[in-house]
Amino acid sequence: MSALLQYNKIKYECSCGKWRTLPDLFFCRHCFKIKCDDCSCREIDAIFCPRCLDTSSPPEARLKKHKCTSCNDCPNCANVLSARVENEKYYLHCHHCRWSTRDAKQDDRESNKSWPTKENPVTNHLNEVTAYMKRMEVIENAPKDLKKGKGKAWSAIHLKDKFGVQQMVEKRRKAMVPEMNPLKAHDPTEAPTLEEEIENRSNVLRSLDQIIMQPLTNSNELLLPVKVPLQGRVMVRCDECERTLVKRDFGVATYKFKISSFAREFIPDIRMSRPVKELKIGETAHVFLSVTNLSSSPLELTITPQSGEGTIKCSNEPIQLNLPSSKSIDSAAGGVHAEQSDVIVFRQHNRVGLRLDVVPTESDLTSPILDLLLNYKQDGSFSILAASEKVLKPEESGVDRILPAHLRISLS
Amino acid sequence: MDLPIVYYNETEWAKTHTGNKVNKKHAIAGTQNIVIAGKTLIEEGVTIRGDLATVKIGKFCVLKARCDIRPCLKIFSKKPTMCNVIIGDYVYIDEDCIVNAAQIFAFVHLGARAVLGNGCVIRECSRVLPDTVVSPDAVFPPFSTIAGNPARVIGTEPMCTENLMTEAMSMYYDNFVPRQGATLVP
Repeated sequence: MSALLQYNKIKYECSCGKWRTLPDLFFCRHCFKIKCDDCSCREIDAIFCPRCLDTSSPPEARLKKHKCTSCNDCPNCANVLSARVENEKYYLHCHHCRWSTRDAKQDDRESNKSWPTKENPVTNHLNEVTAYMKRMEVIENAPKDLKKGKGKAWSAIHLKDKFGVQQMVEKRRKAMVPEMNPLKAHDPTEAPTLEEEIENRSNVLRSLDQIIMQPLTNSNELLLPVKVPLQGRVMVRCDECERTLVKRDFGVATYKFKISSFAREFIPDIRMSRPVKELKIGETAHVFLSVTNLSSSPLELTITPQSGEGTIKCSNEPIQLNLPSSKSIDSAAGGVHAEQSDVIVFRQHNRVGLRLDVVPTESDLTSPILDLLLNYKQDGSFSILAASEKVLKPEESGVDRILPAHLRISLS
Repeated sequence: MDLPIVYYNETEWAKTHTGNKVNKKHAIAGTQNIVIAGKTLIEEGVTIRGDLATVKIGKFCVLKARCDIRPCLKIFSKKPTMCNVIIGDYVYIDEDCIVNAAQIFAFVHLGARAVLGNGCVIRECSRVLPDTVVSPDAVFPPFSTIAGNPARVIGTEPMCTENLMTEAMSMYYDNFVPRQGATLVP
């Protein structure tokens, strides 16, 4: 939706120095800092199939090899395969490229589930090797485990070996150690020559997407339906205090949030109010902005135009504003500065329209950027503090803080 | 950017008591099967095939010019059936879209000239980019950016899409005012 409101033209500076649009930013109520997706931690919260929206627990997903058992994609165009019934038997069909499981020489099935996939031909060998490695691990760790299990009381007896305990332990240890049958190394197979490969190659050339979807299928084999890979849903944490910034509600298909701390709900939201007319060198142009307070407390803010290298010169003085909260019922805005009426264009509840005058120079014309610094007073009652902090530093809890926000507006 | 004020000619538009505004040059068939919650704008040349199956449209939706909404066809073992179309609240459907979907959930933005195939489902807070062709029976999870032909998920939408969409759609409705007696509110 940032497309309709054209948020992409206005970038806020994150606490890590990156420039992001306001809807993409979060605000940590403990550190009082703006956080972007690069300076926050992400954690997988749920694993689900993007087609059937069926959740699976992490071990379950691992068992399924992170693929949905009931949904299939077309191996040609990665589209959905729809099931069709003929004579009470199912086959899969792609509506986009008209591929069907009959093309893959698969018989129609009684059930729509468990379509065959290309398995790794060396799976058995791989399993043997992993089992062997596990046994090796047991053997290597056996002396350590025994030592751990043996307390200090044992050590004296062990030294004396009066009752033959040591022998017994040794015997047991030997019994515990699994049998070792070293696996034979994988016999080298003769590498195919180039001539052979060219001879055996089918005329079908596969696209990179197709190869990535089915890496095990050779070019002379038929493609099989691709199982849909599962997706993870993330929750976001602050990288400094590790408090949760965003957590979605229970259920995969939900769009609601249990915890949400979007930057829009704390930082004054600045948008272009009207498109900027063509800029001409040395002529004053007007930039119309609208400032909205979407937080649940009144905001006092100062907007200071910055002029520096690479930014357009703004002739306005710093503007002081007082915005009521979005939730307050009385629409009468407090603290209207009548003398600044040449700057304030309109006032609507929690929204104020501003007119800034800019004078572009020649260097600005290619990429005119307006640089603004916001200073706003954040209501301290928003802050989340640990219980210990409330006791140790009572003067810091619930204190209103003046916070900066730096933003750049592209006028082109 | 704040959405601009759009003035409309009152003689060309019909307004219902629930606040829906419908252009009189529409091609809506089967009005008894169409349920619109309220405050929805339906522009010129919009086709809604209510004669085939029930069409439900939520509140604060915008159906731009010449878009086409028709029920999807599902073939069951006995006979083919036309399924109902359900469009959620705060859905923006841009010009020349063809919507053959089974369900479009709330806060979805469809770009211009997008084609939604038979029986596809688009979940909440998703955005379909312009000129996308969504293949039949496709399902897209919430917060996905959908693009291409055939359509694929190419990214995620911002997490606060719900708030953005609510704000944008109510602003669109508020700024859609009749030409006579219009007051200048930016």
